Amino acid sequence: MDFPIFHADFFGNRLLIAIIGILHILINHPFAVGMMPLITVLEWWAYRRNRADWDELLRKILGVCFIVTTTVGALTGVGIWFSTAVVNPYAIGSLLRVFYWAWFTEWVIFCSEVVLILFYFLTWKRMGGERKPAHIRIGIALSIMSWLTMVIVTGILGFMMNPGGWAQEQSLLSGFLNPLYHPQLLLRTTLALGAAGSLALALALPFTEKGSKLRSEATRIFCGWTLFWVVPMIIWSAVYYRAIPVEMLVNLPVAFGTQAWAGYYGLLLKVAAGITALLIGLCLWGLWQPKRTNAAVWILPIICFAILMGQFERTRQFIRKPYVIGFYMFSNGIRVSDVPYILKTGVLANSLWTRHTTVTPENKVEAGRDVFMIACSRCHTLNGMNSVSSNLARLYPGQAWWNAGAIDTYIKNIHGARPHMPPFAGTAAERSALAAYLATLYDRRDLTSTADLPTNNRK
Amino acid sequence: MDIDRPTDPTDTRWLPSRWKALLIGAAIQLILAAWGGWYLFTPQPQPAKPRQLVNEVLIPEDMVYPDTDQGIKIGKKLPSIDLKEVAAASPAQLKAGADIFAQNCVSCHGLNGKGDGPAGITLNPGPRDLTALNTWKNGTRTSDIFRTISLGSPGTRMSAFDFLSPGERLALAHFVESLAPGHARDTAESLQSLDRQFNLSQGVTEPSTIPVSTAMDKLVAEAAAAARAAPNPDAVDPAGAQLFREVADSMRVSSLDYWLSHDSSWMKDPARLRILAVGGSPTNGFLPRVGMLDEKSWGALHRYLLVRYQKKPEQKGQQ
Amino acid sequence: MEPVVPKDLLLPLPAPSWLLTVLLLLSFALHILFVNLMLGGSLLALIAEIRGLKNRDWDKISHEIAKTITVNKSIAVVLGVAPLLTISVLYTVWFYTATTLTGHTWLAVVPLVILAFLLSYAHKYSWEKLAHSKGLHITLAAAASAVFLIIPLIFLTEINLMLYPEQWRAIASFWDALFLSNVLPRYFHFIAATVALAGLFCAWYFGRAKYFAGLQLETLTRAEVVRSFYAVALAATSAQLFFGPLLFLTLPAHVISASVILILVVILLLAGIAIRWLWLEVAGTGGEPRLARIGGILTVVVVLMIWARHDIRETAIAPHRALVAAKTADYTAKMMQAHNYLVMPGGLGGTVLSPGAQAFSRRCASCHAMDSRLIGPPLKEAAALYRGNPEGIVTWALQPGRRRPDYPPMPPQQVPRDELLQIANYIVDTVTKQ
Repeated sequence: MDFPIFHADFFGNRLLIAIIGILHILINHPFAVGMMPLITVLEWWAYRRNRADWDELLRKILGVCFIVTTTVGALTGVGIWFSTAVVNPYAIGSLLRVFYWAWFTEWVIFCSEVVLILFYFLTWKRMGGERKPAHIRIGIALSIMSWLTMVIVTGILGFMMNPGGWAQEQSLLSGFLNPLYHPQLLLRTTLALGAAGSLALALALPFTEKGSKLRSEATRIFCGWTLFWVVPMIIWSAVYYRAIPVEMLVNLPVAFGTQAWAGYYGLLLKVAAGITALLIGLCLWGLWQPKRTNAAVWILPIICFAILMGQFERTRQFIRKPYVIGFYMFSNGIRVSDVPYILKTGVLANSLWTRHTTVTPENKVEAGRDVFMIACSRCHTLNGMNSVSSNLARLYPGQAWWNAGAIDTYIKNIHGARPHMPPFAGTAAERSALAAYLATLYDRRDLTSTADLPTNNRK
Repeated sequence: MDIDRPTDPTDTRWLPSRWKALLIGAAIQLILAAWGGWYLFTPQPQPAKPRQLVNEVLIPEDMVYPDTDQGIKIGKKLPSIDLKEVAAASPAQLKAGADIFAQNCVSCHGLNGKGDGPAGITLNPGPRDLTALNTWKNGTRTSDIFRTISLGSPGTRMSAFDFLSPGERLALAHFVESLAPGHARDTAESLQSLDRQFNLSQGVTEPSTIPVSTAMDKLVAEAAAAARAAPNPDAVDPAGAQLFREVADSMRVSSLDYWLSHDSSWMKDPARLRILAVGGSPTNGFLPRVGMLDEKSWGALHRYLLVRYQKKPEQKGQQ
Repeated sequence: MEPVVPKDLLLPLPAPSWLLTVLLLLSFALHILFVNLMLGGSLLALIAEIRGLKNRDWDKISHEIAKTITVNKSIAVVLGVAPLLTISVLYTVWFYTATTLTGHTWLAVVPLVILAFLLSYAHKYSWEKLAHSKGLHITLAAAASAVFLIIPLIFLTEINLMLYPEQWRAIASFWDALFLSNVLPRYFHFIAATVALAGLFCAWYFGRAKYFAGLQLETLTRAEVVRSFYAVALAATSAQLFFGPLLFLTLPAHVISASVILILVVILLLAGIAIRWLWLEVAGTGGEPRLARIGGILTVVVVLMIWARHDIRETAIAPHRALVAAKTADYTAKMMQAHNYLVMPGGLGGTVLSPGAQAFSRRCASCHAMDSRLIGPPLKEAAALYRGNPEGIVTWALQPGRRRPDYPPMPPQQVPRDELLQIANYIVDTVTKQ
């Protein structure tokens, strides 16, 4: 309410964060956290067995990971802070205040991780022969540091869904050791390790020759590694599910399939199980018959992992709605304890960057747009993705039904009708102004152009 | 870990490395599976839920507590309504009525009152076409309309709109009248009877309101007093108390307590209690192990809970 | 213009503000050191490679500089995390207001840096492959440098904008913020410093005897190369004698305090000494190498600059900070008081509904009435099937089948099981009572 409103109406503000966040996860799990232990263990094994061909293969795989993690990986990590600060400064600002020292510690570990990966990759060729054991030790240190960054950030992610004892104690530790912490950490660790195996399988393809002994060995080893970690991954995803607050489970069908497909929740779960089974099947085949494999075995597993991971992130982020910080702050940045005051005094009166501060009969529709921007635009667009116009069209078929009174009544109890929606926080006049504005969206034409966003129109 | 030397095939001090790897792998799997299993079968804490934010709570006058310094608002008397206002409409009433109609009625009765609102499409009987007086069932006088609005229409989805004040209902009634010509007129007697029924000329008092925090404090105090007065079930039936402690999820005590005290279907017999407790576990607050109690234990638990929640055992045939 | 006064977040700072300030300034100093090496290195590599078209030795030197960029860029980025974290905590409302006001451009930093990094990698790893397509190769270097040059401009705009709450309402886009009086002078000052620092770094880097011998250059001697880089550092530092005062003169008067003036005078003196020493190195007058001394003095200058920057920031923000604190305290009090008017689920018309009835009216009443048809069948009929069996209602509600084709299908209810059970018990009770 007190920050200028950044709004991307085509993609929607959620998608901005989602793209950066999911890209970051898709990189750091298989390319970094999972890959470094895999490479280190195999480097050691290759050293013991005197396999120079394996050593070279691993170095090349590491090279790809090095480039990807130090560019897109690192920058999407920072990009998450950039995008969340611009889309929901209240949420990220609050998280930073609670978890500053956790993030600071993670930063120190990141610094060591960067230095270690620079050493690990750039000195690979130089540190051969007698210096190999020292090089392997760098790999071990790097693997530990990579994992430690996950150890820290996972606490914060779990906090967003279920702050645990923080609601009473308000300390970093009580928030960090939330009920989701262990389950999510173990799930992500096993997932990262498993996905790294599939990624290495795909990356080995350009670096080995068809029909070579190296390729079939790589197939067998990487498939075996993936299978090894997939079993505990499944166990710990069940544990994670068990730890989700029971109030949020109700959001699962929509989280998993969006509103359009929520009715097919059972089917979609079967699809996800099918993808997991496919992954396991392909890896078993690669393990058992490495010589008789083809592109499917090498490329499909990492694609399966990417789909499962992307779906997991989307689901995890949606389940905790209407909250952005569970039971403390709603997704639009309004805290639960702010709501009574805002119900009394209005959300416009408490905002600094809207055109209007009160609703009058003359400015009703414009004020309604302002209310939309404050209370709804963090998740909804006007005419883009997850637009209110498409959501309303689903409820009200035809213009005669699409009227301000009906919309007003619906919004009044929207948090009962849709468990993922926050209660409307504002006076009845503001709600009716919002409804009046939404009623004008019937033609999907915005009354004023999107260039006229109300960041600074109050001079 | 032996990094420094390549494998010496003649070195027999340790297990061959393939076995070592298998052992390490098995250990990792076992630890992860056991730890995960432990997490799956023990209770998880749930955070406190925020209070709900819906309509204001209204308390009838005889329940108003005398101490007004705790933020209790005694309901004020609404302005009385002159029966002349019932007899004839003023422009201000028509305008106010139009607004109220748009807010509350169009969803069923349609934008122009023709009974074609979207929420009413599937109703049977459908919403009244307010312009076709020949179809009206409850009378077309202002007093009839007022009555219908205030009490609803039994057998239909027309509910009682008594959360509108009498003044608002009257304005709405006048607006509805304006939708079509040919309404019957009220007589002096019909106005009197309306007045007697709804206390219009004397004025109605708004129900008093009490802040939630005060209400909760008072409820808590009452419950504590009642608990002090009641027999201690744990002293009366220690075995039952012990049994209950074993099967109740200590992290979900409040939701378990709420369910047991507000729901009455579990009281019927131990078999019903068993169905409900096991079926709703673990979200209802009973641990999964409650499914393993035998019939005797269910009887004991049922008896204990009846005493604890101060219910009399059900008479046969009464529900 | 009236300053915008936001409320601060209602969570305490995670550490005393002096500690956060120390951490901010220290981590920022480290970050900016490596940013300078990365950006300056990129520029120097480009210039060296262009020179290398005439003299192959310079091409080799350019390659060596490009290798350092790989390392310096990663360290620069990771070191940037701590100042970003700390400034977001210490100056939450100022920093976030500035960045959300210019949101699109601020976000562009992420893809721009990724692009710059990838171009740098492409440039470095294609050295041999593009040895005969120098035009393309140099274009890669120029592109990387160009992108690198945009980023400090964006950062400086934000850092500047956050200091002037009275200007916030005048900002409609990034360009308005860019052309606030102080930004461009700051930018040129920064670029000059970058080049100076990179030049000094290269003077040290290529001055190492063993390393230089390993390069096996054909025509250039170590002294020549080192002197070239000293010349770069000298030129850039001398340019500061113009950019520095320009920056000072374009500062709004109200942010300048006495301590800042004192610091700047000291800096001027130290810079003068550094310039003299650099001149001596370039002129090749011999004597002991002055690298350590020059490095030392410029380090002190940088530390003093960071202190001066912080002083200016605090002077600019202090009055506004007091306003923010007052507004926050006022809001907190009112917000807590409003909790007395909290609402509770209740009934209408004087009776408090049971939880089951409330839940029913929230979840089901829009489609089901007790004894009339709405969207769904009357409850009396439907619930007759479930006498004494509320769990059956729960099962149905979670996954409704299709019993009556003359009714629309019932959607599966996304309602927690125990709430459904409450509703089901209420339905069964009400139906059996009637």
